[in-house]
Formats: sequence, C-alpha cells, structure tokens
Amino acid sequence: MSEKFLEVKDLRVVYTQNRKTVQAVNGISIRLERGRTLGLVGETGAGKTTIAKAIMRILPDIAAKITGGEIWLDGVDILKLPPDEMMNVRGEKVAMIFQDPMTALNPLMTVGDQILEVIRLHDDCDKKAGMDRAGDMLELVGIPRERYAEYPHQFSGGMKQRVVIAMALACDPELLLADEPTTALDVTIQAQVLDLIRELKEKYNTSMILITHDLGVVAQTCDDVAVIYAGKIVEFGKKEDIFDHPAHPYTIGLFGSLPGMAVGEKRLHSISGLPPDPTALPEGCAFWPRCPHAVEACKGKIPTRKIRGVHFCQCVKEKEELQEVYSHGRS
Amino acid sequence: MADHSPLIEVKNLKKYFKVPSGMNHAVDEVSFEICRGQTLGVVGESGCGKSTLGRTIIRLLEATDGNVYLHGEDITHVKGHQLKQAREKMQIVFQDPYSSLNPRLRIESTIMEPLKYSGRYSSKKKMREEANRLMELVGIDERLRQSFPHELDGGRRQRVGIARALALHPDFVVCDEPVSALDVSIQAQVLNLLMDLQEQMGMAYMFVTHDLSVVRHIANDILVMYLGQAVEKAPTEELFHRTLHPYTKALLSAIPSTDIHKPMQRIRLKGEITSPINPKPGCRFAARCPYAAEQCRQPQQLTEILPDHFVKCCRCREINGL
Amino acid sequence: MKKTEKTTYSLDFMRRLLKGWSSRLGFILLALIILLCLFGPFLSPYGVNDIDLQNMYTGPCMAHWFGCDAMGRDILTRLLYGGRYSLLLGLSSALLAAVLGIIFGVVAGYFGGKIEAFIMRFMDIWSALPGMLLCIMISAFMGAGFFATVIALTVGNIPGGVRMTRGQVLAERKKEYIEAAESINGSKMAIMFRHLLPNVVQPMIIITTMSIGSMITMAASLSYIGLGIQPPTPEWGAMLADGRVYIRNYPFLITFPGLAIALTVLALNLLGDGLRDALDPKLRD
Repeated sequence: MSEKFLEVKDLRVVYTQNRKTVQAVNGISIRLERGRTLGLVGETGAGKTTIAKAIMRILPDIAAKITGGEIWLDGVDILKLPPDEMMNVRGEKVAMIFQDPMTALNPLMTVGDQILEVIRLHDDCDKKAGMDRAGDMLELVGIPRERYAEYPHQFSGGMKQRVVIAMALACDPELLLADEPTTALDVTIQAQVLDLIRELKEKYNTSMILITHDLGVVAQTCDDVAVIYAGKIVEFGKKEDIFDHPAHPYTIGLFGSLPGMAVGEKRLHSISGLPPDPTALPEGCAFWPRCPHAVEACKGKIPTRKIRGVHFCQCVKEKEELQEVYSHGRS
Repeated sequence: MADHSPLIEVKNLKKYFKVPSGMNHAVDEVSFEICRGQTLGVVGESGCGKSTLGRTIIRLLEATDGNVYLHGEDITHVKGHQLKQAREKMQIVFQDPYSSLNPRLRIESTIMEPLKYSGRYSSKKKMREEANRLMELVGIDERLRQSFPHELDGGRRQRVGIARALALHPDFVVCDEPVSALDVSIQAQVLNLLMDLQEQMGMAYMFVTHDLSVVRHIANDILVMYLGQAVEKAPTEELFHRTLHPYTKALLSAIPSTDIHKPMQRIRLKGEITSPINPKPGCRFAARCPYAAEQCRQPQQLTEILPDHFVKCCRCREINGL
Repeated sequence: MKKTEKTTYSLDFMRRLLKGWSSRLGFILLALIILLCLFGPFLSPYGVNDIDLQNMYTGPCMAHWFGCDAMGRDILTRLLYGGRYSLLLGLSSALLAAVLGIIFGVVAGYFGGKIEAFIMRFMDIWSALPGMLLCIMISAFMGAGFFATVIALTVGNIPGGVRMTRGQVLAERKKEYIEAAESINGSKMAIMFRHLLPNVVQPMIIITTMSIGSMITMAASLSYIGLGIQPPTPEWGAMLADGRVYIRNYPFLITFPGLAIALTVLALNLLGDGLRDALDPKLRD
C-alpha cells in the first residue's frame, strides 16, 4: 500500500504583478503515498493554493510561471505533458475541490448536468448512462437523486459543497486536492462534509492533499502535515510529530495563537509582526524577523534537519536542540 | 468593575424582516444584560440572527418589538439628538476588514470621521492629534496615516476599524466576528488588543462569533442562538463544562479538536439550519434534534435550570438527568 | 509604501493620470485640439465667414490646407473656430447630464422606498420618449442658440446616468463601511456624497467621456434641421451635415470635420480610461 504516488521535487513558482515578482513557492518537495492524506497548513499568501494549482496545472498562464522543479504523478512528470494529455490527467487522476462552493458552480446549469458534463468530458459514455452515473454521484454525497434537475441557488451552502465534491469525485480521481473545502461552511456542516470526504477517501483509497489554515481540521483528517511559511515547507512530519512535538518556532507560534488551547491564560501567545512581503522575502529563513529565537545565522543558508523518522524541520537550531522536543513534548 | 448595574439591557427584542414568502423572524424575543467591563459572547451559525441582533441594539436597524436600555434609559426608538448621543456610546467593529473601510478615504481621514461628526473638536489640528493618539492606541504605525485601506493587510485594517469605533469613547461595543476573516497568528494579536483595550477603558463588549474557541477565551457569559432565538445562556466555563441544550452540545462536538489523541465523539445532526421564515411555534431545533419529541411542538420558555444557567428546552432536565 | 508627504493630492493625481502611454497620448491630443481651437483662428489668414466664390469646392492645397466649402470658406479656419462650440457643447452637456444623473441616482439608491420609486418611474417615462424627439421638442420650445442646445442635449442623457448610478449605489450601500458611517453619526449628506459618491462615479466617468462624442454628433443633427447652433456660425456637426450632400464629388468636405470629431472622441476615451485608473486608489503603484 505504501507506494509512492505523488512526488513534487523542488517546485518553484513566481507571479509577476505590476512588474514586481512575487515568490509564491520557493522550492517545495512533497511525497505522498497512495491512500494517505497530507495537510498543507499555513497562513494566507503562504503559497498553499499555488502548490495545488501547479499540480492541477491551472495556474494563470500570463501571470504565473513555474520556474523550476518536477511534479511526478504515478511515474509521469506532468509538467512536461502536452496540454491535451494533461486534460486527461485532470479529472481522471487529479481533481480539485475549491474553497467557495458559491462560485464553483454555474448558476445557470442544473447540478446534475454539471456533474454530467464532467463525466462526459472524460468518458465517452452516452447521455443516458452519464445521467445515471451523475445521479449515483449525487446519492454518494448524500443528495437525493430526485434533485438532479435543480439549480445551485436551490441548495444551501453545505449542499453546494457536496455537489462540488461529487463533481470532483465523478471520474474516480486517484488524487484529490481539497483547497479549504470547509472554510465557507458552518461548524456543524463542516463536520458533515469532513466526515463525507473521509468516508469516500477510505472507500476508494484516494490520496488527498488538504489545504487549510485550521489546525483542528488537520488534526481530525490528515496523516501527514506540512507547515508552510512564505512558500517553503518549514516543518514536515506525521500528524503525531507535528501536534505533539512541534519543533519549528513558527509551528510552535501557530499552536500558541489558537484561542482555547490554554484555558485560564488571559493573553494569547501571538506571533508578533506580519507575514513577509512576498515580493521582498528576507534573506535566509523567511521567519526570522518574527522569530523569538532569531540569531545571526538565520540570515544565512538554512539547513534541513531530520529530527526523527520522517519529521523534518528547516531551522538553524542544532539537531540535539530540536530532538529535545521529544523529551518534553508539548506542554 | 465595582459597578454591577447593567450597562446595556435588552428585553424581548424582536426584529422581523418582510420577505416575499412571509416574515423572517431574524431575532425573536432575545433578552440579556451586560455590565461594565464585561463581555457577552453571542454564538451561532450563519443565519441565526446574531449579526442582526447586534445591529438592532445599536440602532443600525429598527427593532420590531422589545426594548433596549442604555444606562437604564430606553433608547429603542429615540430620534434626533438623543439618537446621536446614544450612538456615540454604542459602537461596532465589523467582520470584514475589506468592506468596512471606505476604499477612497485615507487611514487618518477614516479615523477622523467620527471626531468630525461629533462636533466636539474645534479645529482640524486637534482632530488630527486625537487621530494620532488613537492610531497609537491600536498599534498602527504613524507613517501609515496617509495610506489607503487596500495598502494594509487585514489585521491592520481591523485595527483601523477598532480605532474608528473607539474614537468617541463608547461604553458598549458590538464586535461582529472581528477576527473570523483573519489568519490565526493575526487573530491572536487582534484578540489581545481588544482585551487590553477593554481593561484600559472598561467597555462592555457583545462579541458575536461562530467560533466557540474564540468566545471561550474572551467572554464572561455566552448566549447561544438558533434561528433567531436564544437557546442557552450561561457563564462561559459553566456552559463548556455543563452543556445542557442539545444544539449547544452538537455545536461543541462539531468543533474539530486539535487534540489528536482524543477521538472526536461527534453528535451527528441531520440536515442543515433552515430559514426562520414563518416559523411554527415550538422548538425551532426540533427538526434536527436527536431528542425531539411530541412536547417539543409546544412553545418553549427560556428557564433557569441551574443558577445563572438558562436553557430553552422542555426536555432539558430529562436529557441531562437533572 | 514609500511616500513623500509633500506631494499634494492634485500633483499626485496628475502623475498617476499621465503614467500610462495611452492616457498620456489622450491628454496631449486633447490639449492640442483645445489649444488649436482657442488660438488657431487668430493665426489663420482667413476670416471664419469670408465668402470667396472663386474658391468654391477647392480641394486641399497650399493656400487652403483642408480645402474650401460650397461658399469658398476656408475649412481649416471654420474647423478651428467651430471646435470651440462643438467642444464646449459636448463637454458642458455631457458633464451636466452626468452631474444630474449622479445626484438623482445616489439619492434614489440611498433613500430607496418612495423617493426611489418616484425618481425611477419618472426616469422610465422620460426615457420612453425617443431622445431625438425630446431634443427637438426642447429646442423648438426654447428656441435655437447655444444654451438651449446644451439643455436639449443634456435632458435626453439624464435617465441613463440615473439608472447606472442607482445600480452602483445599491451594490455599494450594502457594504459595511456605509453602516460604519451611520453608526458614527454621519449625516445623510455625508454618507451620500462623501462615502457613496466617490465609490460609484467610476463607470459614469467612462460613460461621460464617451458620450461627449455622441453629443457633438447629436448637436449636428439639431443644426441640420435648423435647430441648435445657427449658421453661419460653424460647428463640427453642422459642417459634417452640410458636406454630406457632396460626399461623392468633394469628400474632403466631410473628411476633415469627421476626423476632428473622431480624434476628439479618441482623445477623450483614452483620457477617460486613464482618469478611471487614476481615481481608483487600488491601482496606485
């Protein structure tokens, strides 16, 4: 079961905006095995969505440019595929669930037809069989088949997000990219949708990359976690590594910022300062201007240190110092 | 903190909107009071009327029925000069730091607006000094005063919104999801700021949010709303430790916990929040409630089940074995 | 975020306006046209109404660069002189229509209810009348002449502006900064004209710059049926209308007035785009 399915090697993406260069993704490497879920955690503008769009190859042509790296999906470097072959990869191998279900659906088409369209784009089935399948997909996500001919505005937010999930799953993708799939939803609905995604994933042994800023969602859904800051993975590990033994100062800061984690304490331990300007990233570690432990060496080359097993961290702190987190754990 | 007479008192407040298919009972018979320096958290999902409640109290919307008392004075229907005075004492911090600032006004002008309208300042120079003081108070760098809102990040914009709300030294501030549009690390900064300001200036907050972990951190009391009605009201820790209403229980269990070793025991709710248009009498949560029974169709009362702990559920004692 | 505090708003505005090459081109073109119209007639050796029957229909030559018309009058001179009227006519009527449209639109959109219903129904009736008919009626009623023509041209263009502005206001009014202005005791006037107006004028600016061209041609139609500016006072539209009859034999009679109108409209449109960008603080560098 643990075959390597997706491998992103040293991916770099830049955007050009008003003659300024935005360094969105700065050398990201990801490995994902079949059936596992990787959580990408980070703040707005950290480059999470850009990574997903690069894997889908749906970055805007004019503004964005992949300046380096490879994306291997099931043994094929998809960055080298011609556009028409990429069309087949999209939908059949990779599918994406977008953040905002309100804008991801065409308001003038019935939800059933929108699923049908996806199916027929990849499958040469006749309309009747396609409609059957679209109906099956609706039932799969818990919407009665009878609502096939209704329009998006007749659905509530949570229902729309289910339709979006049905569209993403319509062609049995092997990799699902979920970009903040529940951010626009209420907690009780979020819980329903997350349950649904988890069940479907298990049923079809789909791999998933879940993009979110909500550490709670990660805790409940993911196997591995990559913490992203300014377009770089600053810490990577199994869920247990990250949640019980966070090593990077940024990860520690993120946990400290969560209200309700430390009941009784009045002030939150916020991370001071702001995320860096992506057009002028600081030298060395992008986090050092906000880091409470910053030293002169932080402005130089940052080593990637192995802490234990697959747990890695990009920080100048000594290996021993980082390993200490295991002796203490998170208080 | 010694003053325990309520600063703001809301009694049976109702706000109905006329919609094509009938009456939308956005806020239905909500009552509470907040003392000086205290924070009431109002929690609920989208569409439960929590934002409408805040806006009705501070007179951005006209109440359909019920009363709002500020310092014991009924301000529900005051007009003209009295309304102007009441509004100076009650302010609001909005959810969306992007749309809550006029994109064409510079930061300094935005903060000077309330000073200008109040007529308390004789010269522009004095207003500018006051604006600078406010900017310092909320932690906005002085060199940003000539910037436009879009040049600032969400956290800073929210600080500008806070400065604008505090400009006239209000006694009561409605915080309408002030941090839900911000990133976690920035969210913590803004929450800390709000708490510090409350300590310094002694305002009462009504903190409207859908995020239970945020209110747990900031509020003294919590009011849970469902479809326009208050279903549970209790001091914060009491509510979290002894949750009584089935909806509050479901809401609490749905928050994804960051504790990976405790598997979630989720109460699964059927369906979704419906709309509060022409509601039937009886419990509005009954359609999704796992404990719904025949008696739930009768009109429900918010009753004090435990000291200071109010619940609107006729089966409450039964369910919780009290 | 570097900014020199000394830069005054108007200087900053001009710098931003003239940043792009297209708006710069528009600005130079328009300035050139205005300057030529203002001072050109003084430089010309010919009088604007000098009839020279020997030079009837003379084509462009060294003595008469743009040729002469049916009465032997120098077209270039008349073009420069007529430009004053045409530009002033187009500009003033388009601006007047825009200002009235914005005011009524903002009032209707902000107040809503009965005031909105009244204004909008009135505009519906108003725009049901064909624009040209309205123009003719007003011109006939008020008589010919510059002022009457401005009014006639303005009136037909108000309803469009009202509708457009009202639509913008309806979208903008829902935003929280308007509520914020209310909660800090902003007066209705302040909310309408300090908060709403600057955020809804953008599309009107573009519409207005474009409508100047059609105003000029509309004025020409009025002249053609004997209303509007009276001959022998030259005016671009009227010159175009006069030359129309001879289009086969003497195409230069309409080429040059037509070109003048086209160039002016082009300049205004280029400038309009630049104006839109310069007015939007979001597009500042």
